[in-house]
This record gives sequence, structure tokens and C-alpha cells, in this order.
Amino acid sequence: MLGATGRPPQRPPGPVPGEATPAVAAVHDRAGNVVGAAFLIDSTRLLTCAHVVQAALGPEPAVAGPTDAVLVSVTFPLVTPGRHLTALVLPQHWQPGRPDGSGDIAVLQLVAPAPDAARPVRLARPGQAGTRDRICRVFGFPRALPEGRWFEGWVVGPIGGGWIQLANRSDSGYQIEPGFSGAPVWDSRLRCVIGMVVAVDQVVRPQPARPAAFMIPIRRLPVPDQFGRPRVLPRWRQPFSRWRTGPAPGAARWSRRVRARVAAFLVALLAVGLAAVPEPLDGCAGPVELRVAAAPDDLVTYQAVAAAYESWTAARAGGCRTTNVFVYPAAPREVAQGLQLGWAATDGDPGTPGWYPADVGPRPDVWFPGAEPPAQQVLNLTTVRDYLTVARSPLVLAVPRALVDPGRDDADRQRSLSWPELFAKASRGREEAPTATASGRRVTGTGWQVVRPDPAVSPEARMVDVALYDGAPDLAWIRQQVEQRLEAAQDGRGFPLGSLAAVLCRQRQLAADPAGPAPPAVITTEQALVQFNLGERLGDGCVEYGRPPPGGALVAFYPALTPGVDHRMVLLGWPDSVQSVVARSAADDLRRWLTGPGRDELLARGFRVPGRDGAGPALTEENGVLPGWLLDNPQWELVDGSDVLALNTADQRYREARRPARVLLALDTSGSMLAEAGRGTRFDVAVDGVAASLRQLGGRDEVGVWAFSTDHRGAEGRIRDVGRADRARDEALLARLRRTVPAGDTPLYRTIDAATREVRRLGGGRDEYLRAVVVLTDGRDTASGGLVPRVEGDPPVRLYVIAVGEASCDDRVRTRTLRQTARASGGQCVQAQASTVDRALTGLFRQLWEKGAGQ
Amino acid sequence: MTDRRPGGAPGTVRRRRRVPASFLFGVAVGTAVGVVATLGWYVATREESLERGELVILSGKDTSSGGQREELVKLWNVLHPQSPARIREAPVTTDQQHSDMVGIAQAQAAGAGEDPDDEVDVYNLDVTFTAEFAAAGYLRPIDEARLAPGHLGAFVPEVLDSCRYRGSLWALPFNTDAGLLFYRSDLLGGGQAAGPGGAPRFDWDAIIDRSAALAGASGAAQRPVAGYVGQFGPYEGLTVNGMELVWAGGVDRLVDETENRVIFQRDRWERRLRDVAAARRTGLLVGDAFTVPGDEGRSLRDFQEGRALFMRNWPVNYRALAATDAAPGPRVPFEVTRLPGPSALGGQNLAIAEQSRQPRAAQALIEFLTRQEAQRTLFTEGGFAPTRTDVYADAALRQRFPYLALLGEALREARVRPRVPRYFQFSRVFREGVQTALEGDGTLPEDFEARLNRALRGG
Repeated sequence: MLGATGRPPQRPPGPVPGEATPAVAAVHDRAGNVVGAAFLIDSTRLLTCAHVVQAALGPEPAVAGPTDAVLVSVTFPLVTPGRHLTALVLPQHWQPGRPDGSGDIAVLQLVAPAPDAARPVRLARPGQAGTRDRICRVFGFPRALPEGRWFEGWVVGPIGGGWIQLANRSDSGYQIEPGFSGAPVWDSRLRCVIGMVVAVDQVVRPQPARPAAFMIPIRRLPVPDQFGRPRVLPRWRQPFSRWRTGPAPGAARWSRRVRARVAAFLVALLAVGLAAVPEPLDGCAGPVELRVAAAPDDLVTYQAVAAAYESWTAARAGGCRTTNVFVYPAAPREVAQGLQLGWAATDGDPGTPGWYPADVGPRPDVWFPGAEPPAQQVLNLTTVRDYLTVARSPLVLAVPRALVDPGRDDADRQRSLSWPELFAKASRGREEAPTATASGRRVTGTGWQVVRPDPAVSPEARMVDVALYDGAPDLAWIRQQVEQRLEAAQDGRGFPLGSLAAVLCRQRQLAADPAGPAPPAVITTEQALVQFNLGERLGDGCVEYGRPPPGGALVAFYPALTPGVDHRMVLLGWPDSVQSVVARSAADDLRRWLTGPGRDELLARGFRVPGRDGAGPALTEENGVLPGWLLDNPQWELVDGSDVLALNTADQRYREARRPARVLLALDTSGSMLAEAGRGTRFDVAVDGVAASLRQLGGRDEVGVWAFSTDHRGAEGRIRDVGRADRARDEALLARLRRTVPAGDTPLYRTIDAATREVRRLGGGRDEYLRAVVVLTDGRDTASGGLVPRVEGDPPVRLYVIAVGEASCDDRVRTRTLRQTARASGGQCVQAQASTVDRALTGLFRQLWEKGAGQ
Repeated sequence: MTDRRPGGAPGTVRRRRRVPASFLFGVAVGTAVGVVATLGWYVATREESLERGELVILSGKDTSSGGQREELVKLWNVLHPQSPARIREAPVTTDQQHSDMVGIAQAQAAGAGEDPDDEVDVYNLDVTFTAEFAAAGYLRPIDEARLAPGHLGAFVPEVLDSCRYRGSLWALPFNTDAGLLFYRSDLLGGGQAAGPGGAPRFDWDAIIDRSAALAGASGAAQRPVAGYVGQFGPYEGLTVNGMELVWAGGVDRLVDETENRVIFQRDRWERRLRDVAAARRTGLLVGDAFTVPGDEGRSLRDFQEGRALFMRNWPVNYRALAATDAAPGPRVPFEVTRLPGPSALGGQNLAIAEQSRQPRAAQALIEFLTRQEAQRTLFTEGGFAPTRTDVYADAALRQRFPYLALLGEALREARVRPRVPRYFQFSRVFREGVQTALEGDGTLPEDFEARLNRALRGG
């Protein structure tokens, strides 16, 4: 056994510990149970509470005098779990607890050397302990758990008897319990031990679940110098020990030369540290935040591009991410309006697309408007620092591979037909008369059918209209040969009146159904086709992803001349108070990357890149495209999104050629519509939306309005019969709606069923109207008695649901959700906030009304 | 007076007493020092008034019923017309809010703002932002000496803890949240070990056993199709649910915040993940639990419509479950208790912007918004869970809102998500790993620890 003045055991040098855990020992009783903690204060001695020793000894008498050799068993569970060591209770330092709160201290001397990995703790200076609100951590053994648990809390302040009170905090999960007695209290900021846990309050007030705990501060504990020269480890000294009790006896041996060497070493270490490790604690400096708005259809694409850029900057900065690119979806129309409003609109005027930034998104540093080219007046704003085209993609006809007969069709894949000729081939039946091409060839119809995104929301569709209407003799021809065929395909297969991503999403659903017939051909961009075939996510609203079955993969047919979609990058500048200089600089860096090394990433996403003739790895035959097409056909571009005149002409012709809409709007007037929505009740905001929607009604469109709740006889009140725009009737309708006081329950499904039947009942040719039921509701169905609405049927009726408040598109109608039911009909279920339901309504009617189609 | 004549008798001339110059100098210096010290003491100790000028609070859009935060700010403006406040709205969703606030904070930290009206004085930060903002130097610590006596002590300690970072107090808690376990009381009657509040407790073994017995696609037509619904979609909800599973496995801390390193113990981290992954295949979770949206609303509807035996969700959903517009009373019989392990702490904290030219007024505003009256109003009218113990102790409120007492208990057991500067990156890596584990056999990725540490370092 080593005596108090014995030679310290040798061990490999180790660093001064940064925490107390290598010093914490568990004190065991005779049965091997943990009764408390102790901690190493030099190479062989441990400090603990006298009552812990008494608990370990059990009924044996406590340490009585200097000649008594009392032994206890300890382990170091975080260093060598399970290895028991014997320790002698040093009688000269035995201080049993006294009634005044003093004492309760014991010093243990290890009989055998401590484990190699055990390290004595660093002790605080007197005066450092006891400060209020100091964060501390304790590792102890609650409920006799031998592996131990952490307590984390803070020092509350001194109480009588020289103790300090501790308080709990949330992320420890454990409170101080008797098994923590004798454990060191580690100050996280000072990185040293400031006391020893001694007791927990037995009084069960004021908070029974969390009694107060106490520690003996470091100034009241015996420290190594008080019982002789500390048994220091090689190259380890108890910090501040000289300060505490005067120079240690061995201090004189530190000659001036040694001190000078130590000082020089420390200076050199500091210099090297400063040079080599600029951010030692956290590793990397904080990244610059770059806010990027992207068109919803392109969200996934630009998120992938942004991730590649982040990785590239991190590689340049030695593994530290220097820029955090946050890409969020924002409709180009809303961003354009936000730029004009300085991104600070807060009113609820339905003419304003949204509240900025609360509803639309953060103020963007960069904007990717996707296929929609910003208007020149937007680009002329001072907010726009610069803009450029970073990628492009041609419009193609994408045909499911299962429908393609290579012998018949391969020749037509590349530039042999114009858009009208290709469209005729795809949309006409085999039984119809062949079409004569400009070259004198006669092309027989294939019966594929063709769907196109909705020109009201899709810039790609507007561009392709320019090509499809090219050479059309008159409006009747456009109606019969183009629009009717497109409408029939849309209705027949439940395609939405939506964006390109929405149409491809439906295509993906149809392609994945092995029992269904082959899906139709789709007008799309080459890049979206590649994304479809690769199984990537399509836009922000499409849940389905994954590669299609081989027969459902799409094959690109390239017309002789075709519109091209240019993807622009717009750099935005805001006042210094909301946009940092470094953010602008990061945006410039992103631009440099996208026009330099980042072009490879754009190619990998299926784009064609200006200045790069070669096709990327994604543009392959396997993915359905002709990689060499651009080189073979350098003058391919018929029109782009900036050709305003051509686009407006096509829009006008489209409006005149499309079928009018017949819409029945059903408004929920149940009691919950009285809930506050920021600008009045939910019902008030909804009526604002109705008013704005009626203003968009086209000359040939028809609308009817119902109110539904159990307060109405038969569940619905027919407050406007289906008919064309009539100012007097509409004014009366709005006046009546504004007088309505919502009440009753929600017969949602019964209303959907009745409204669908009503729209069908009104008659008219199958192709004569775009038929739709629009339901605005804020609650789940509560009064339909188990009725399942029948939406499918002939003529097709599209179901649109705007769900607000408690209502949800995920509510189930027997086996399908409301969203699935609406989508199967070619409609849509939109989850809207109560305060912006008017926006949702006007946005929907913009698609349905012929007048809105041109706006 | 004696005539002073030359040559007169010396005895007739009274000698003038002279005060030593050094004494006079000492008096003068002493007086001067005294005056300066008195003035200095006065200046140093006098109660400083609040700075004048408008205060700007950058806060996520208030979606509470009736805009209760706005109402409180109006009340402040009536009481403090010299320092009126206004809320500048940030986006609603947490990730958009984070980007917007960080972007603005970086701009303001550059000190380039010329217009005081554009300066943000107070940030209303999600609990997970606080460490990042404090570490980046965007915040000014709370001056505790200026707070009213007892103000700090009134907060739920665990909630106040979310405002601390590296030993300093950077914010005061505005509202909080802790997850609860909702369960079908008709199918899961008594027989459980009662918790402290008398409510039954279910540990993960019990949830899995009961789910296997009472839920699943096979069996009676009326039985729930899933045992347990939570938030497993690819967003912060999955991080929260994943951390709660790891904590329930006996893990105390995920990250050593002092060292900014993950404390990874594979066996313990995977313990409950393995249990859940194994039970998932037999109907513990819904089939598409990991797809979009997989959020609070989705799980609420599943539970509401009787498709689940247990639901982990936030307390605000109690109101939705307990009342519908059809009829008062729940559609499915349910009770609520604490989660099988600690919950992750949610909520928002109010902090003073480092660049604010009105720090005293900003702090006074924060103190005003976190007082008992404000917290009561925000809870009763707006549904925000309070941050103060005195609101939880209010007998009238406990009677009116039966889940309040339980929420108070859950908060005391709740844990703060790691307070690290790169929490967002850490969270993304964490939830990707949890999803991999739950979709597999519960095994976390091989390099999970290294990836988490890299994220913590900002790599």
C-alpha cells in the first residue's frame, strides 16, 4: 500500500482532462451495489462524502482514528467498467457530517494504481464557485445504476452552512439523487470542478418532483496541498494550487531556465494554433445564407443544383460549407409582383397575390423563374441586378415507349415533321384520313392521343400553341383539329388543368398502373422528359416518384422547328438592412459557378447548356432523347418565351378556340366558417374570393353558386342558378352572401354528389363545356350519413376542393382521400390558409375561366 | 484690531495662524474626488429610461386565433408610447423562417443599415435557432440584473434552459411545447402502470405489445390499421420523433455541446429504433409513414378517424380532438398521457438583436411579452403553450384545459434539442439516418457518427 508520501506511480503522460468523467468513480458497498460517487484529485486519491463511505461500510462503525485501516471498493465506470479497486479511507481527513452542515468529507487512497485512462480533475480557484446561473454537469449513479447518468443544471446560489444550491435543467433527464453524493460538479464554462455533491433536499416543497440539491464548494474541500505535496502525474499539475496555499514545496525546483522554456513553448504553441486552426471549437465559420426562389415545377431540379454548389464550395474551403443555399418554391407571378412591391405587401387585397414575405417566402437573393420569362418591366426594376440564361431545353412530343413502332416512327423522331404534322400523327385515329405534310408525304394517324399542360398556368403550353396553330386556316380548324382533341384526351384520362409537372405527375400514375391502357403522348420539355424517365420527383406537388416501367418510359419526338424554354437566373439586390454584401457576393459566385464548372450539373439534370455543344450524361438514348440532335439541328428554335407578340397572338386564339367553362361553386356555410381569419371570418374572406372570381368570368362561361350546411333544407341553398355573367344577378348574389350568417354542420360529400349530378343534368354536348364543381369547405364531412359521392361519369366533371381550417385533402371518402378523388376526376384538392382562401379561389378560377386564361 | 506699527512691542502683535497648504490641497482634492464619486455613483446606479423609438420584432406570421401576439404588442404600445413596437412578419414554415431570419441577421450584423426603421430589435426565434444566432453574434445577452425580481424564476426551468447557450442567457421563452401520447381509451382501458399524475403510462414495449394485439390490417374490420402514428415525414418532425426514440432507449444526451461533438453509443441509440423497425412490419406504423406529408395533421386525421391506437402529437391537438363542429365530445374515445420517454421541447424564444440601438427598451418589451398576464392570454386565446410555472399552477385554467397539468409534467421531462450552431445541418443528417434505420432493421448508417460530427462542424 502506498503511503501518503510514497513515490507517485508512473504512467504515460496525458493531457489535462477537459472534463471530469475520467476521474469519476463509483463507490460500492459490500454487496457490490453502488452507493455513491468519488472523484480522483491526484494520481491516487479520491474525494467523496463521509456518508457515502458510511453507506459503503454498512453497519460497520465509521472511521474512528488514524490507525484504523478501513477499505472500500471503487470502480471507474467510464474508464474501466467492472474493474474493482480497493481504496483506504484516510483517517486524518475523515470529517463526518455535523448538524451545522459542515463536514461530510472523506479522502480515499487507492491501494493499487488508478487505471491508465483515469485522470484527476481540474479544480477551480476559490471564488470561482458559487456564482449564480453557472451551468454545471454532474455524473453520478442514481437509483444505483452502475453505468451512471448525467445531471445537468446550474448553480443557483449559496445557502446556510456553506453549501451551494443546484437546480435542474431539461436535457439531463435525471435529478440529483442520493447516488450522486460525492460526485464532482463540473463547470462547463470554466472547465473545472467547482464542488462536490453532498445532499438532496428531503423537504417536498415547493416542487415535489424536483427537490433541491446541494454541493460543497471547492473552497471548503480538502485539496492536495492540504495533505502534503500532491501526487502529480508527469506533465500534469493541479492548476492554481500555488495560488491557493502558497508555493508547493517542489516549486523551487522550477528554475528560471525551465520557466523560460515553458513560456517559449506556450508562445510557439499559440502561434501555431492561431495559424493552423482559425476556428478550433466549432470547426467552420458560419455559412452565408443565400435565399433562392424557384418556380415550383423546377424546385427539385434547383435543389439538386444548389446541393452540388454547396458541395463544391465546401471542397474549395477545406470541407467547410461556406454557403447555405435555401431553395423554396414560389410561383413566378408572385415573385414578379413581390419585386414590384418591394417584398413588403401586407394587405389582403385579392389583387395582391400574397403577403410578403409571410405567405410567399423569404426575400430572395436569387430567382430562377423556370420556363416563365419575367416581363421586361420586372427586369427593368432596380431590384434586378442582373439576369442571364443558364440553361435551355427544347419542347418535344413525349410518347410512351410501348406505343412507338420503331419501323414506322423512328424516321419521324428527328425533324422530319412540323409540330402540326406531328400533332396530327399522334392525335388522329388510324381510321381517319392521312395528313399530307409539306414535303408531300402522307402521314397516317396513330391514335396515341396528346395531352398538353394548361396554357393558363404553363409557359411551355403557351409556347407550343404558337407552333401548333402555325398555318391554321381559321379558328374553327384550331377548335376541331387541336383543342377538341386535346380536351378529349385530358378528360378521358383525368389529366389536370395544370402545369407541366402536374401533367407529368398524372402520366406517371397512369404509367405505373399495369392494368390500365397505355397513357397518351405528352407535350413537354426534353429536360422534364429526362427527369420523368430517371424517376426524379416532379415539382413540389407530386408525391409519386421512381422510374416508370419500360413501356411507360417516354421517347422524345423532335419537330423540325420547336420552341425552346430558356431557364434564366435573376440576381436581386435589396437594401443593406435586409441583404448582406456577402449574400450578394455569394449570389455572384453562384452565377460564376453556373456558367463555369456548374454547367456539368445542369447537363446532368437533363438541360442543354449555352456554350456547351455536347450533351450531358443524362441526355442519352436510354433516357429517351437524341443526344446529337442539337448538333444536327443548330437552327432549331422556333420561338422562345420572350417573343411576346407571338405568344399573345397564340393566347388570343387559344381563348377563342377553347371550350367555355360551366362551374358550380359550393360554399360551406357551416358554423365553423365564423372562425376568425385575420381579415374577418373565414366566410368573409371566401366571399371576397367569390367577388374577385366573378369579375374574371368570361363571356361564354357559366357559373352557379350553392351554399351548403345542415341549416339549409336539403343540405344546400341554390343561391345562383348556373348561367352566364350577369352583373345585376352577381351583385344580388354577393349582397346575399354578405348577409349570410354561417350555421349548422357540414354535409360535404352529399353536396359534392348533388353538385356533380346537377352539372351533368344541365346537358349540352360532351365536348361543349369544361364542367367542374368547386367546393370550398373548412370542415370534415359531418352530415352525409355515409354517402360516397359519385364523381366519375359521363360527361366528365372535374372536382376541385379548397380545404381550409380543419378540412383536409387527406380526409377519406371510403377508400380514397379527397385528394385522390379530386385528382382522379382531373381536378385538384388545394389546402389553403383561411386568411388567403380568396387567393386560392381566384387562382383556381383563373384556370377555369376563358377570360382568366389570357391573364 | 491691533495697530501694527513698526518697531512696536512684539507682545502686542498677534501672530496669524496659517493653515498648511498641503492640508488645503488635500481638502480640495478630497472634495473633488467626493463630488466626482458621488456623481459617478449616481450616473452608474440611476434607473436608465427606455430608449425612444420604434421597436421592430421579426417573427413568424402569427396564425393564432385573433392574432393574439399582435394584440399584446398593441397593449405595449399603449403603455409605452415613446417606444412603440411593431411585428415584422417572417414566413410561416420553420425552414423558410430560418432562412429569412438568418439572411436579415447577416445583413444587420454587417451594420450597413442606415434607416433605424429597418433595424430588427427583437427576434422571435424557434428554439432550435437560438444557439446558432448566439454563436454567430447576432444576439445580445439578456441583462438579468434589469429583469424584475422573480421573473426568471417563474419560467419552467427546462423551457428557460432552451434560451441558454454556453453559460449565458440569450433569450426569454415566448411559448413552448412538448409532445403527448394520445390513446384510444375504449380499446386500452386500465391495467397500465399509473404515472405521477394518475394517468396511465405506456412504455415502448407496451405500445408495441398492445399494437400487435389490437391493431393491424388483419383481424376485425373495426380495429385500427396502425398501432402508432407520429411524425415521420421528411422534415423536422422526423428529427423530433427520432430523437424521442433514441432518448427512450436510455440515451441522455445526443451531443456534447461544450465540445460540439456527438455522443454516439450505437447500441443505445438503436435500441428503440430496432424495436420500432421490427414492429413496423407487423402494423405498428402506417404503411406510408415516411412519405410526404407525414406530419402532425396527417397523424391527427389518422387518429381522429379511428385508424390508430396511439398518436404522438402536440397538445394543441387536444382541442381539435375534443371538439368538432358536429357535436361536442370526441369522435373517437381518447385519453392523453405522457410519451413513453422524454419529449423534445418545442416553442419560440424572444431575443435582443446585437445591433439594436434600443436594447433596454427591447428587453423591457421581451419581459412584458413573457409576463404572467401575457402568457395567460396567449394560452387561453391563442392556444400557445405557456412558459411560466404560475400559469400551469392556475387552478381555474387546469379545470378549463384538462391537458394543462399533463403538459406541465411533460415539459419538466422534456429535453432541448442540441443547442449547437449548425443545428439545421445536424438535424438533416440525423433524420436521414433515422429514416434509414426505421425503414430497415433499425440499424443506423455505418458512418452515422462521422456524418453527424461533420455536420456539427459545418462541413
